[in-house]
Amino acid sequence: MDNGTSFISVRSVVKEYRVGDSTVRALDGMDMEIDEGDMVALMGPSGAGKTTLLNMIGGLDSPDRGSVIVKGMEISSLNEGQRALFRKNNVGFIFQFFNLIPSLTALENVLVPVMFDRDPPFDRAVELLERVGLSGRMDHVPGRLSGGERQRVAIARALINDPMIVLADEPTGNIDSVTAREIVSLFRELNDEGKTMIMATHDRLVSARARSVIKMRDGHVVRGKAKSRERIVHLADRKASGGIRRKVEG
Amino acid sequence: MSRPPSAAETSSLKVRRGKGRKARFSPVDYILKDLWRNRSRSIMSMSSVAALSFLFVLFSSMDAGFADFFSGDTGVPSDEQKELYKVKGVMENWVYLITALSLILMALVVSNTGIITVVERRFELATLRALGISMPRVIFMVSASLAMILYGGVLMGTVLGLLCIPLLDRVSLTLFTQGIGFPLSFDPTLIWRSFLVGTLAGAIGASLPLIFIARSSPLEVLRDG
Repeated sequence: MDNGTSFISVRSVVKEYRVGDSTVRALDGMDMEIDEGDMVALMGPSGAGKTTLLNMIGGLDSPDRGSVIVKGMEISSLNEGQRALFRKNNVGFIFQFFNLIPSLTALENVLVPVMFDRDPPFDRAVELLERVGLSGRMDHVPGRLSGGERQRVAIARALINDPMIVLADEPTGNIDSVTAREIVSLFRELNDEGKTMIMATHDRLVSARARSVIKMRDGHVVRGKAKSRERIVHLADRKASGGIRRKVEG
Repeated sequence: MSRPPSAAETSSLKVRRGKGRKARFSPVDYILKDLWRNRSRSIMSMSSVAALSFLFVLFSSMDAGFADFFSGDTGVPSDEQKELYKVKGVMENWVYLITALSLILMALVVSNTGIITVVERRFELATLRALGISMPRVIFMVSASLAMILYGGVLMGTVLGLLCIPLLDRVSLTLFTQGIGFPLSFDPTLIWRSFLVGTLAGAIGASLPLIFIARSSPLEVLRDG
């Protein structure tokens, strides 16, 4: 059901959390549109609502008011099971602290999201690890990997289901600047291949390489800027020729 | 022209494929790896369950022993037999008490292990859910992990108990006739009764940690770090 909206449409979203006796409004009537194939950096101070917004788009959280629509599907109206399926099939999460499973090897960590599948894409997991430069580290557990290597495993894991959206929360927050550059270059590559990338970040390196930067403060967009519209047009051409695979429903 | 071996072929998991098995990674592999990572706790919990199962089997075999010992009794009992009946009554009460205690303690062991697992791994379980693994599947994984510990313990305790019955039987029967011991007898139903008690204890003990998972919000766990 396509309502003629943008690829991702956030409409008048309000989200409040209770912290002790007080209520914090993380998103305060947020409105935002993101095009397919865009690479967006969400910037803003801590508490601006960046992570909350990422969680809304990824179907991890639901708004108190307003709606979040991804490719015509209203995520906010899905139940928990449907949202889990939506996340599995359409969203790749990259966390600031990597969130790898300590008892599993790099290869097994990449396979975690698909372990319940009838035929998990083992070869794809291997290819993804090769692609992120970890061909020699596949059998290493996270404890034996550096921060940058762990983040690469997390990226490979996010891509195992070939998601249409990749969400990264402070992806360079816990790695050195050299590795951060490599990670951002990898994000850019993925974006060139058609993935819609949305990153919550404080890092100017990330925002410098993003195609769009959205600045947030107190749960609002204070400024949004598309850097490169011609790329979206290029993407539309590729889409017309069937170059991009998309999955909307599980 | 031969191509250089890919990283996949040098990976040990790929080696498993090379030996004729399909390369795979399933939830069972995940659960086994997790049990191995927490092997000290797993072994301790399994040993506790085994000890309780052993006690259950031993005391239940007394029950069977009494039944065997008094099965031929007819007519008016002698004074000596009356004394033995008294001892039988006391011992039977002990059997019921130990059975009930085994059940409660086994449930506590399972519950305790489950709660520690869920609390310690809350971040990991929340990550699984964030990655799109549904709550019923996460619950299945934790339940399977607890079931492996529980049934592993029950199996060990039951086997040990059954092996001990013939050894203790002769000694204890002699002592029983002197009024200070108890008869033991092998009863094949002990095996399924032991597993039934284990299952019941598991169902009671696992309910609390599983409710904990069902009610927890992965988002809150991830946000709180």
